[in-house]
Amino acid sequence: MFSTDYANICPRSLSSEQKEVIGVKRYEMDVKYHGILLGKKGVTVKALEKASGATIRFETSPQGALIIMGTDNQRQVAWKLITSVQATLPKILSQIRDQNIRFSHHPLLPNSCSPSSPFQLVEHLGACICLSPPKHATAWTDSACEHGESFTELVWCHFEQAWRTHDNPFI
Amino acid sequence: MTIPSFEGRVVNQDQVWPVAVNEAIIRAKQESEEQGDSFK
Repeated sequence: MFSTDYANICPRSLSSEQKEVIGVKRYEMDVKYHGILLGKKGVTVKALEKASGATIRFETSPQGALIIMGTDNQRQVAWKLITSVQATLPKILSQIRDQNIRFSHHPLLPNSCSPSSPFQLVEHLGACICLSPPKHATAWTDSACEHGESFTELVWCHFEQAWRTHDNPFI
Repeated sequence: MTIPSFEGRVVNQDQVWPVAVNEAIIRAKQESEEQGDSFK
C-alpha cells in the first residue's frame, strides 16, 4: 500500500496553546474496494468520517485511491477504521442477510408464494406486479447491483417498494 | 435515526447497511483498543 503525505498544508489554530495541523494523505486503493467503503447511499464513508473526524474522498483515476484529510490523529484513526471495516463489513453484511433473507419466510409474502431464489422471486412477482429492474440495468442480473449490495438485497428492496406502491398486490 | 443493534433480525431492509456498518466500526474500535490504540 503506497501513500503520499501532504500533511501540514493547512495550519489551524485551536487555542493559544494548542496548534492542530490539518493534513492530507493519499492511499492507493483499488477501485474494487471503493464500493464497500462508500456503502449504500454513502452510509459507510459517512460513518467512517463521523467516527474518525477526518474527511474521506475517493479517487478513481489515474489509480484508485483514498484521500484522507484531517489532523494526524484523525487520519490515523480513519485509516485504521478503513482497513478494519474493509475486511469485516462484507462478512457482517452476509451474516445479516443470512438472518434476514429467507425467501420462504419474508413477512410480505403470502404462504402460497415461497421462491427459493431471487430469480424465482422476480418470476413469481411478475404475475402480480411489474417488478422492473433498476433504471441503470436492462434486466434482472447480477450486474444490476452497483453499490455493493447483493442481488438478493436489490430484489427485496425493489419488491418492498413495489409492495408499498401497490398496497399489497397479493390481496 | 436510531440504528438497531446487530443482534437479531433486521426487519427494515433500509437498515441492513447502517446496522452492518455500525457493527463493523464497533469491532474495529474494539480491535484497535485491544492493541492499545486510542480513538480519542
